[in-house]
Amino acid sequence: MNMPLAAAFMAAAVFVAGAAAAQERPAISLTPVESAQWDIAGHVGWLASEKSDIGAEWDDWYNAFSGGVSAGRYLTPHVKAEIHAAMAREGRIYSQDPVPLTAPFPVFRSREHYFRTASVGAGVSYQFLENQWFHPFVGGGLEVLREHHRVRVPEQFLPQRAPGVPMVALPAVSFAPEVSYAARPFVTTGFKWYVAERAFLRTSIQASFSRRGTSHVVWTAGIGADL
Amino acid sequence: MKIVTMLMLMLMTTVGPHGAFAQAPPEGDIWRAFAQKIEAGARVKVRLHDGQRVTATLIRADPEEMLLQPRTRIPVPVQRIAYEQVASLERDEARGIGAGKAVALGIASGVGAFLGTLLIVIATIE
Repeated sequence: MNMPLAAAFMAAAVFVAGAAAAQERPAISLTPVESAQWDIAGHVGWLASEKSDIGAEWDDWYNAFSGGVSAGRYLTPHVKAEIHAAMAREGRIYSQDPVPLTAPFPVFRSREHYFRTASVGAGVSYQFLENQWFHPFVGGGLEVLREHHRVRVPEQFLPQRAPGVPMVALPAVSFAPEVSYAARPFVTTGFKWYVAERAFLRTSIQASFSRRGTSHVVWTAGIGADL
Repeated sequence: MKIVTMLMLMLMTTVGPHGAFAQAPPEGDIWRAFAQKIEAGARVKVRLHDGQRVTATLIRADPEEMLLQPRTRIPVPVQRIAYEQVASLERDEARGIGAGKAVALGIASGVGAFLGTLLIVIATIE
């Protein structure tokens, strides 16, 4: 995990919350008598994850359908602390390794890498406008990603140059899956569009970061309610 | 002689306008007079001196203050605003979302639904 970046996110979150709490009361109050304390939402989305350390240059991102839930607590009408959990379907990328002893003609063997990601995260978001029907928001936080990675090498036939020599069959191989965990800072932006006093549609884009740069991007769309 | 004429002209251009401004009624009186000509129930846009902007329904324009019901998602209590706080006040004639916004919303919704469906189909295939 990139600790300085994570610390910067946490500091920014605390600063935003403190600044919002210190705001003066406006002359015209838009805060309802019974304002919402919580919001909950469910979403579906599309996850793209960067795998340049494994995949070929032409295939270093995998994509997968994802879904999740979130729950937030309003600290002020504009600032909300939120936790979320999400799971994605399996995504796939390919890599290629040269097969030894095939000179002078190079032969490559393809590997299929399957990834399945789950995440939980916590963050703070700032919601623009107050008590309106449309609320853009920005936010950030930290999330823990669990990644299940399995590799399958499909069966492959090696052609022989000499006439009459049968092709060599390389059998399919499956490797034991690996599970890894990583903590990543994230930023997010999107909007809530209320369709009733306390029910909304929400869409957002969230990007997570690793040492190599942007590691995950998730677009989500869902529904939710203020409680 | 020319110097005296120039001094006279300078005095007229500098002192004259100040005298004219001094005769203008206080800003609060202007907004009071304007607000009292707007019928109750009219939708108005108000901007206060502290920078706050609100679209509201004018409930009543009293001599000391006006009563506004801000147009919000969840109703809020009627607000009392002194005329001295008002930086600008205007009728808001906007009603509904308008043809342009309706078309934009329709296109955005359609594109969003199409892309969402497409993504789900792709995910199912994989």
